[in-house]
Amino acid sequence: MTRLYRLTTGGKENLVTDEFLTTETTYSEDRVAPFREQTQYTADLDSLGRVLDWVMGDGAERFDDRSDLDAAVAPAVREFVNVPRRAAADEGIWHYLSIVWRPDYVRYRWTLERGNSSLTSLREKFTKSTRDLYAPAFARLWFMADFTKSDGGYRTTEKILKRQYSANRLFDRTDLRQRPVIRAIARVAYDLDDDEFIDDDDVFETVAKAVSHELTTISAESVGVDGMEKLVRQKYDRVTG
Amino acid sequence: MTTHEYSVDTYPYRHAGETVGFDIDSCEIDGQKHELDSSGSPVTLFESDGWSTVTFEVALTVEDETLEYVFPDADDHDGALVVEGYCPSTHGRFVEPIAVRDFGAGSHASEVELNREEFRGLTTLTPRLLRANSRSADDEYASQSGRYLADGPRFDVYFDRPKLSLKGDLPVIPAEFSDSNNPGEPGTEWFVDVRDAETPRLYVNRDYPTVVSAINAIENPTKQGIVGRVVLNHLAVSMLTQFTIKAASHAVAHGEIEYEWQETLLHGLCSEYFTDGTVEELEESLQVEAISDTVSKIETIYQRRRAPHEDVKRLLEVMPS
Repeated sequence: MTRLYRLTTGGKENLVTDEFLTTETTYSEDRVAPFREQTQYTADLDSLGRVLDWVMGDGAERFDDRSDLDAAVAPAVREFVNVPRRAAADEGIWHYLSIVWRPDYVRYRWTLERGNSSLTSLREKFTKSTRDLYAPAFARLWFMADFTKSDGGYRTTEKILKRQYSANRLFDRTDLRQRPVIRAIARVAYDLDDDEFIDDDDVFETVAKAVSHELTTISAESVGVDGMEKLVRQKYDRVTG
Repeated sequence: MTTHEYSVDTYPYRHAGETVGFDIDSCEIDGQKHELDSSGSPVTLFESDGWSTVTFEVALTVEDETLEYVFPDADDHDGALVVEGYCPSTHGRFVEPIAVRDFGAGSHASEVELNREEFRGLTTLTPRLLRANSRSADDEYASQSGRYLADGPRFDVYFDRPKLSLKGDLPVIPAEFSDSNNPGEPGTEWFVDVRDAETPRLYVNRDYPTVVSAINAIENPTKQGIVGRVVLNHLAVSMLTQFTIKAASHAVAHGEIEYEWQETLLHGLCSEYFTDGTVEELEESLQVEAISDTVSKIETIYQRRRAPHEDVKRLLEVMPS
């Protein structure tokens, strides 16, 4: 297990330069020393590193679609950085992992080549806080996997993250980022054919939006997964009926 | 001031608004009593480190009138009084039941225990009255399980000291005014420091986490962000007014306008009031018989501006760092 560090004040501001974003720059221990501090947490970064090496190397041709890359890496991030939520919400830890530990993966996933990402967008992958589940490179995967994992493992994580449109419709909405909600939607997604729900962008977005509206006046934690599932089905029936 | 479109939600069923009372009677950290500020919210837990559990003794109060309004049957309150928690940093949410079904009007006490490893930064605790079970009737009362029937004022609990980030916005200096080395007065929210007129500074008190949190939220397209902008614009009007008075005082004392930031305020933003812009005019405006009118007029000028907090930002940008 490897001790986790966090970047402190001034770290991301000093280290995430245009040169850092556009070249293969990696920082030495001395360079980051003024901006880092040790945390009480550890992670299996060797194993996670091997997964990243594989998806960027031998396994690369299987991940032409960047959503497939997220679906493959997210369970590994959650599993090998097995820390409590308090640590997962510490943006300094994620900044350290993306800026100092594996900037190569972040640049690979959001490559500037072929116009896949803008400089601003790539910068945000290194610097955004954990409150934003769209941008921060590793943190977004940790939380998405945490919301979607179940006793059965990461089957749901993979099903949802393979579809970037659907994943964004869920995780961009603050009120849908709740375990009972995500699990209820996953149950319905497994019950229906993919092309009836999770692969039908219009239906999926309309249902997600309708559930989001309901959550302004309903407590998902109180009704639990069963209660939310009824609600999701009700919305689905209304949209498709 | 920046404006945003609001949609005012109206509940499609009987909702009693903010009618649930909420008190935190006591707080213990790892079994040791933790003193709360007499004003209640916010609760700050960041003074001590190395602890694992915080326990709040809470009391939720509901009136007969509320119960009669939101439930179809006055003798059967099929509801639950709960404390709903939300931690934006961890995306964590929880509901702690305080009284479930068959409870009457009055105060209901219970404990809410939170494990520190699940939270970071701000966590909000909101009292709510919910519908417990679904019902089939189609009337003016809520029928779905989990519906909010009434709520109350929330408590803000800070597990960690909020950071003043303001990246891309106000370049202010966060400081703890309770620390004797800082220029601000303890108990105040911000301080305009022009002791060195060449490099004036704007300090914001880190001892006030609510203000810092509101300011930090201004870039978020959320209600908190909108409230943050309103708060920040009100603060900015006062800040700009104080900067302007100090700019004028300094010009009078030195017989000239020496720095660009003074020029920006006196000849730029307030040219409508300081029409000549001469030192003589400034001196006249600061006389005892004129100062009240001067402050009032300057405040009005700043209140009319679209986004006073952006003016503060631009002002600080012309000040040498």
